Amino acid sequence: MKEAIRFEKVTKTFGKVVANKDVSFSVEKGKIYAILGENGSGKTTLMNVIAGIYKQDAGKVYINEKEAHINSPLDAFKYNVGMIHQHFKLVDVFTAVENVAQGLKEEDVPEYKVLQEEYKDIGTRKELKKKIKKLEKEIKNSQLVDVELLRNQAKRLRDNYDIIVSLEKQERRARRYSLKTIEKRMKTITDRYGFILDPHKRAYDMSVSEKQTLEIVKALNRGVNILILDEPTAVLTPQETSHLFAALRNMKEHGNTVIIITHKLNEVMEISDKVVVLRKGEYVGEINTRQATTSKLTEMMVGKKITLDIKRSKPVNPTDRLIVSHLKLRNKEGGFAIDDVSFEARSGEILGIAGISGNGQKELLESIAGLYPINAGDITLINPKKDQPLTILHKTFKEVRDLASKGAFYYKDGSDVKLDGKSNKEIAQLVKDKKIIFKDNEIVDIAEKDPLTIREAGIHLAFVPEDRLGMGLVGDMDIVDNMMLRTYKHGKGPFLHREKPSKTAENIIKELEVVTPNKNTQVRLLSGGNIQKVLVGREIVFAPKVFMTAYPVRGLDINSSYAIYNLLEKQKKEGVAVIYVGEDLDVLLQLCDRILVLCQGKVAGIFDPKKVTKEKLGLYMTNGGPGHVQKA
Amino acid sequence: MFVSLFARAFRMMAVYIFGASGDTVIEKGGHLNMGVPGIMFIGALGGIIGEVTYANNVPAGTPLNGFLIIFVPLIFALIFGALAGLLYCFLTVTLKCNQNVVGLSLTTFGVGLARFSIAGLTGIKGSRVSEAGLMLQNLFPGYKAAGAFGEMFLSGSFFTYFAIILAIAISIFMAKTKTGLNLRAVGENPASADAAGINVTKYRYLSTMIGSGIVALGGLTYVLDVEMGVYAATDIVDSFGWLALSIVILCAWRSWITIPVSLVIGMLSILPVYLSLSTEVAKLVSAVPYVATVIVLIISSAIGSKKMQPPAGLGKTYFREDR
Repeated sequence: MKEAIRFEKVTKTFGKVVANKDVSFSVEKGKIYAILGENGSGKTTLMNVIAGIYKQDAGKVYINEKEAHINSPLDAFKYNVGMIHQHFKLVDVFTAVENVAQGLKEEDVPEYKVLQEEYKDIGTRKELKKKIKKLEKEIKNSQLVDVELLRNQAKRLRDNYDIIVSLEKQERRARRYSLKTIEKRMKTITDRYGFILDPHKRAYDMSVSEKQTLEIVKALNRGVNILILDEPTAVLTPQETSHLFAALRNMKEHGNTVIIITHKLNEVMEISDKVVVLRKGEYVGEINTRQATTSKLTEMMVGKKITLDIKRSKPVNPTDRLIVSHLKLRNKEGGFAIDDVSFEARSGEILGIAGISGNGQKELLESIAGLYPINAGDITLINPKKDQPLTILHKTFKEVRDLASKGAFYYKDGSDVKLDGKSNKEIAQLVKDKKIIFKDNEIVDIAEKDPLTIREAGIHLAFVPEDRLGMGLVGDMDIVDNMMLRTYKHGKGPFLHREKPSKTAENIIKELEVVTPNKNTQVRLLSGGNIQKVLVGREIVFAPKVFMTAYPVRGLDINSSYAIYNLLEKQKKEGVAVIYVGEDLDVLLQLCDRILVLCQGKVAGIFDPKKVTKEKLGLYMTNGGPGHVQKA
Repeated sequence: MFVSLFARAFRMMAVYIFGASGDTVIEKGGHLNMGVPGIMFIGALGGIIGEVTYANNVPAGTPLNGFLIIFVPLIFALIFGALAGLLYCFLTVTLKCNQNVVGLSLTTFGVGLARFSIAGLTGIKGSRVSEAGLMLQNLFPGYKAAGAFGEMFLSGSFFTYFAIILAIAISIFMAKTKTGLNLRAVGENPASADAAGINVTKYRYLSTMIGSGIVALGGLTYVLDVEMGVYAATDIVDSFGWLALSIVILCAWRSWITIPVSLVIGMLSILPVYLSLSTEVAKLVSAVPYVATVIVLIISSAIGSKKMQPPAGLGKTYFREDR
């Protein structure tokens, strides 16, 4: 067995946080390894050490059985190690070729490396020249020694010299900065491993999968034969994933070593030869994939046996909470992102929305939250206000008067509320004393309201975009201040009221088991899963009527994912109408009470998860189902 | 009249070209350098010191050397500008300070330092600097023989043609060379460049120092060429720096476009004198470049063309281990 990489007691800390502690293991050459671990278990940090992003505080790294000193990504390339990061490191305005070309040095031409190696014994041009000169001098001066022999020697040296000179000429030609030569080299690589890549496409026009391919080609062009991929499938569709895996297997066939950082067990089982498990920064063990089972791996990863079931409760007394009818939303290109969509979300139910990403899910949720302009259609919230006191928040006095004149309120004694002749101040006092009570559920037309009013009416959105921090949280602010993004208007006077948000933050940290030094830690310093817990937790804390969440488990490990699923289940039990946009069909089928499939902005169908199969959903997702029949 | 207006603008434009193409080099490396006005002023100071040093050391009666009278101030201005760039880089790259804050303080510092020092230099007696200024006037003394064409295009000084060549050379460098590609990568996405093995620190230091040197030539050109070494006129050098900053945006970070744009702006700046406009109207006309910049920004954002956007990493300090 040949070793590609060996870690020896590698330790890396960030301030007080220990990311890796005394990690030792080795990676066999020509195999596909999976590094498995929960969020924050130090997988990425460990790999960043060999990729030259971080420098270990203690311990040694051996590559190809030699100790490696890697201080920068460039050093990593010298050891033929390349890493594909989760956030792609591409220049958006560059074409694929330009992205590959950036930073290329002359020594980086692989052919040059080979030639150098082959002719190492002849000596450099300078040495040869010196030798030839010395010999010529000797020939001139010598009368005793066999001149013929010396002449022959000189001739041989001159021949070698000519070889070196012509080689250097060739190399210079190969090294000459030309995007064409780089393009040619890219083509050999893509052909060899079966990648598909347009060399002249600019990075901003590429899909995620194309960008990933470009990153891999970039690394391979540097002569990388140990390739590390950080959660490569997190943002890929199933088809793209299988394509990637095929290419990785091809790479293995060609003798390359591949390491995948992941927490998706099914992918580990599918692609890897060996699994290394990390937990809380420490090495737990390794196992041949053939001998591994999902439950065994989970146990190693989490450290205890956990059950991975979602207990779906039966919806209690579901009533319509949010009604969307004939909604149309325009997209940037001028077409329709959402085209004539109608559905209702019911209290005490989880409505799942399935669909290939980019089929209008984001726009739909944003329009309900008031963040996306509505082209046509209605969105109505039925606020369960019956027999509840009126709160005046974000309602004008005029609106209150109008409602009162229609006879929408009654006093505690049962008499109708009449506000004619009363001043605003008096009305405010009545509301404050909770004396005005709704006769019936309040019907709110969401389509005309601004985002703040919609929030106050109880519709909350927790959207987790691909970069996690892109929406909802401010990375540079601490957890408490991020809570305040929702409550900054509360309280009197010009000063901020931090006590309540501070308590909210403490509750979320405690209840959702957020791993953080304290509540005053900047959110961007937390790991991805913890950031998501803070985001989802904040929206739930304010007791929403409708809770919408998209991709809340994106990039999360099993434990955190199930924590989030249970949170949603809890919300449902409390009578909230939950709308869940998800990617994983298995989870949608287990978690939801009804599943709506979106395809190209249209409702392809609404299904009962107990009566539908994954395959059928997939069919509706991709082409809108047989004959585009709409079901209700 | 147009011919003489054009000729004056043609001479004036070198100031803008140096400022804008120098700043293009800086900004392509990812540095939003608000210190350009200050650096330009420091360049003017450097040029004056260089010229005084040379011209006043030539014994009276001996004619000044035509090559040295250009070369010595040029080197001085380059060095002064590069030093200002070095200070900027030390603060933003090594100490990771905020680029805007550093840039603005550099402007305040540079303008103050240069004004103070130039005022001191005015006192030197028996200076031959104005003589030197006259020598700099025309690169091709026989330009009048070519008629209107000669007047318009051949009446420039050494700096005029140097600026044009430099602006084109910078464009070629950015688009066609390996180093240019790497520099653009550093300015667009330093993390990507770093991962590709480009030394981000080195590139940012060098591009900013070289760019600052070029910017400094703008100040030198204004004082020694356009104003013929009359120090009293130097008080407004920083205003050209601000204009240069907006020209960079106007030209969408393409160095060669600064040539025609600078020519037009040069014309606009002289136009009020030719039309004998009142001071108020003249002020309005001088605002035109800024208005044009705003319009270009509006158009480019409306088109949404990614090719016209500033370097994506502009103004961001890079730290590898940042999470």
